[in-house]
Amino acid sequence: MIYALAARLGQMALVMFGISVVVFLIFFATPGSDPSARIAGRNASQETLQQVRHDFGLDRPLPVQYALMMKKLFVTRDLTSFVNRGQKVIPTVTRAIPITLSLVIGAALLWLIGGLIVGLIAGATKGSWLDRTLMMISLAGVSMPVFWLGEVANLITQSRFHDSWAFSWVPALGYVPFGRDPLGWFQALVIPWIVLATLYVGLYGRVLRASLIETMQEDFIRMARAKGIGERQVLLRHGLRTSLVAFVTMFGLDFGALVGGGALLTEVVFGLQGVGKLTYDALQTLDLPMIMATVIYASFFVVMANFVVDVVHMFLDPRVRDAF
Amino acid sequence: MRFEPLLEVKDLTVHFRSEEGLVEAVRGVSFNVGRNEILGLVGESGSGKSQTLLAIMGLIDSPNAVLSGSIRFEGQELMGLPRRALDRIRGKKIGMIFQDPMTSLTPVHTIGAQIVETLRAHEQIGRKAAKDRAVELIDAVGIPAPRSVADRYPHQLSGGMRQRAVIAMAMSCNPALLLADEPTTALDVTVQAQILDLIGKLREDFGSSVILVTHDLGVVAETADKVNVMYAGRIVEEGPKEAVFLQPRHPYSWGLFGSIPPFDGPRPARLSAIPGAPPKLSALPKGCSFRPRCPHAHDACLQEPPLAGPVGHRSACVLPDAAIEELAPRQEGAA
Amino acid sequence: MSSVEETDAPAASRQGQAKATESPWATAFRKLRRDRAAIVALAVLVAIVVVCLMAPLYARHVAMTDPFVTNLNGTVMIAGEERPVLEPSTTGLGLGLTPIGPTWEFGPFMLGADNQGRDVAARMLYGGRNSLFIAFASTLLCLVLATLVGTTAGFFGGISDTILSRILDVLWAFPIFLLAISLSIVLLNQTLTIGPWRITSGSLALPIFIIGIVYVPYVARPIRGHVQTLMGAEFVTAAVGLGASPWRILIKDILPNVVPRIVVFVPLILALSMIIESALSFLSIGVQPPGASWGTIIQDGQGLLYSRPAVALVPGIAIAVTVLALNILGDGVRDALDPKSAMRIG
Ligand SMILES: Nc1ncnc2c1ncn2[C@@H]1O[C@H](COP(=O)(O)OP(=O)(O)O)[C@@H](O)[C@H]1O
Ligand SMILES: [Mg+2]
Repeated sequence: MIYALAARLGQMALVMFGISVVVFLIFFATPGSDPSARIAGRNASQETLQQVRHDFGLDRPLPVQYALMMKKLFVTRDLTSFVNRGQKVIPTVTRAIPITLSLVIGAALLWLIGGLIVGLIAGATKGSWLDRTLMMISLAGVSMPVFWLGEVANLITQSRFHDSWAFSWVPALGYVPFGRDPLGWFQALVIPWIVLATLYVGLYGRVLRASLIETMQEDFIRMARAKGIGERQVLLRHGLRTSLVAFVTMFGLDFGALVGGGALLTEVVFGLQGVGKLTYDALQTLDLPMIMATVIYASFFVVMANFVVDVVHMFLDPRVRDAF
Repeated sequence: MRFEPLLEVKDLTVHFRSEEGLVEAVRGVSFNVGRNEILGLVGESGSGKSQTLLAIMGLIDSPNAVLSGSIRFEGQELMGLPRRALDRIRGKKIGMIFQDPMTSLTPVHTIGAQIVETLRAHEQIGRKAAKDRAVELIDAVGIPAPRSVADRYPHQLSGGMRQRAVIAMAMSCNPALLLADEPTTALDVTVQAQILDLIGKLREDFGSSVILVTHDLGVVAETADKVNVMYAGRIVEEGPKEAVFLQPRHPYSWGLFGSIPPFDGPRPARLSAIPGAPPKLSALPKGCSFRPRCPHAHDACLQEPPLAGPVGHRSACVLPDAAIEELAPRQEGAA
Repeated sequence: MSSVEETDAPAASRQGQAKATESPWATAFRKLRRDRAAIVALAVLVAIVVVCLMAPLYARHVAMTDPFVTNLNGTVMIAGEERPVLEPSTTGLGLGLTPIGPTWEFGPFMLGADNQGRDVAARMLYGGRNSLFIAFASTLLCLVLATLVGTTAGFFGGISDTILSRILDVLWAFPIFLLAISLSIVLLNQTLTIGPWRITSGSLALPIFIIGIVYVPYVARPIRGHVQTLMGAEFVTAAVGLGASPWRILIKDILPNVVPRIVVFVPLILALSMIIESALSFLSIGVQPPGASWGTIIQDGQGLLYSRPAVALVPGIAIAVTVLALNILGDGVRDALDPKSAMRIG
């Protein structure tokens, strides 16, 4: 058990190391890419370029550059931006985290509940018109680009119907800190939550339905019915409970990916200055330290989510518990 | 109260609409089960044994299934009973065990919890008391260390132990009738014998009747009182075990029993097998469905033969008694 | 003790034999043809492709415009009235220009103009060509790479498996979208040289290359698993026992069994590629101006969202309809070929 846990932690560290190397290589070692040219501006002279290279340590060997960056990121924690000189990277990321978390947690609650309901109803009424309708709607939800849906939502709530009773409460785009104004926080986030959750409700509803239908054909379901317990109990205690494993696995990974910057498009469309938006801005200006920080932060969440998924798996499925 | 059998099945048919046409899985099956009686139901795989049991339990849920006939249990008609009323009978008055103990327990709940669930569905009983009852039941089916097993998950038990747990679950409300669908097929030979002993013992301890489905004639020979032989969805022979074993009347039974080695004496080098294969249930031959494989088939077999014969021992064959006497192989020392 | 089972084959297997003569592909096609939703989806897709291919005809003869040059001072005759393509804004402070709105008639500016005075309908068709082409090409690239990687790892095992699997693990843990964005941004700022090919930032090859790469782990992993299962299958062990060469086994026994799996992925990866291409283009790091794709048109429409919403709405609807059709087709193909395998979409 201890050994397995240690091995698991080692594996997580390895994956995070791998990701940081990949990011580093993408930005520092892609043939022809020269961060100093970007920092110095398009028409900078050779001398300026040399100067910039030296200032930012870009003339050192790659492994040294990598090690220095990691040291500044994790040990001294004083990595500064290439673009906004003097801006400390870590506090900037820390400030963006609550915004992203607010967005993702709210959306996650919505899509978990929505996915559960859709999957359960569709799975239990398999083949009916209700099932077919729900699945068609889910598939439509999965097929819309999230940023476009966000724009449609903005068009409706900010412009066309903003003056109607239905949407007059929707505040202007942007984030309101929870500590300052909880109601404002809620109002500012409701529409982004719904937009972000739409895709996932469809996704989760479909996955849960498929998994439920497969489970409901198992022998133990027939056994449960033979015990004379009601169909609702058969469906929930035996069918759903057993199908939940796939659902939870997916949830962990998606949640991790979204907190790690995957909600970028939603943040851009709704003007939320979260980690995704930060990453995007840093990418636009090729602000390498910021990119390294956000991506490593992202991979940390993804890897953590993987780990949490495994732990939850152990609680949900006794077979996995014993295998650990 | 008028005397009546515990279970009375009349003209039960189970058909499935399918791509290849109507699959006639069970075709007008009638039989009775008395109190404290063990009925053996034998036949090749696909002959409709499981569908018969599932129909009794109301467990055929395929949207393509078409059922008809009558199933009376303790005088109450089960066919077409609404789900709520059905749930007051199954699990409580009729218990069922399935073939594969590996897949018939829900993997995410403990053995104890699954037994408790059955108890609490049918009896006014507290959580704690139900748990204690579950432990007693687990003990009664011969599982060592019942208290700790109650807290185990199915995958932590061996196949034999799981089947015992399933039996404990089926017996938890002391049912009047137990339906056992090939309860030993998936188990090791040594475990098989133990499970059969256990089922035999249930009749004494709980006073239950049993329908024991099997394609293993040895199992029937050891445990049953009465035997029904099924072929292509029909009962082709029925009677007391001794009569059916010692004087089988249907040519299919002859072939079937011919393929068991004698209980004592030297084992023949090769068991005699019935040539040919059972008919497709979606394209049954006209008349007797055993006709294509029967060495004694003649023109009269183009009519569907009724189940007839001496009282208590009937068969669905047109051969006259004299011919049956003459042609039937004698099965010495069986039963 | 003996059982009846031994004397006769079970009925079930015999019933299965009736259809065994039909090839798996024929069975799949028969099933797919009966799937009405999938057929409708396929028809919609074909229609979309055909309409987009006719983009030059439309631009030249109906819209009478070149969809790539800006048209800031042009005028257009609508209902006998000459109107500027870009009119001074009438809303708000009256600053800036508002492009002409949709006429909803089959002719110039059917869907209006964008803020550079270009015909949105014509750009939709040209953009559709790019979106579809990128999706098809990157799907092809993705599946070829994934098959190579997955089969190599699964078939040869050992060190090649270890290395490839570790790389896939890292890519798997990498948020796909961040990977695509990172690659796009770096590669857009320079000319990429791969062997004899030089890919400039305006080239469609760049998004194709990037999108083709990021989904490789999603496909390669299941293929690797499938190949490993096949390696343990009886017919392969038998072939090994008979002394067949590895290449022969790979080509004769493994690949034919892997191909249906790969086919199942085609519509799904197409759908994913459409979505991710639109997202990259929306963020201005996909198709580069003056080229268009449905994603770039949504981006163009973002600034006009409240005044001329059609510019952003129409390409979004086009994407959603195409992707929905691909997903429905994907469900159908999966059910027909391989009902057990389930891959998530999205
Ligand atoms: N849902 C179904 N659709 C079509 N045929 C079915 C269905 N369920 C069972 N059958 C058919 O019913 C026949 C009888 O099956 P079964 O009662 O399980 O046989 P046994 O238990 O005697 O082996 C089989 O041939 C089987 O193919
Ligand atoms: Mg059976």
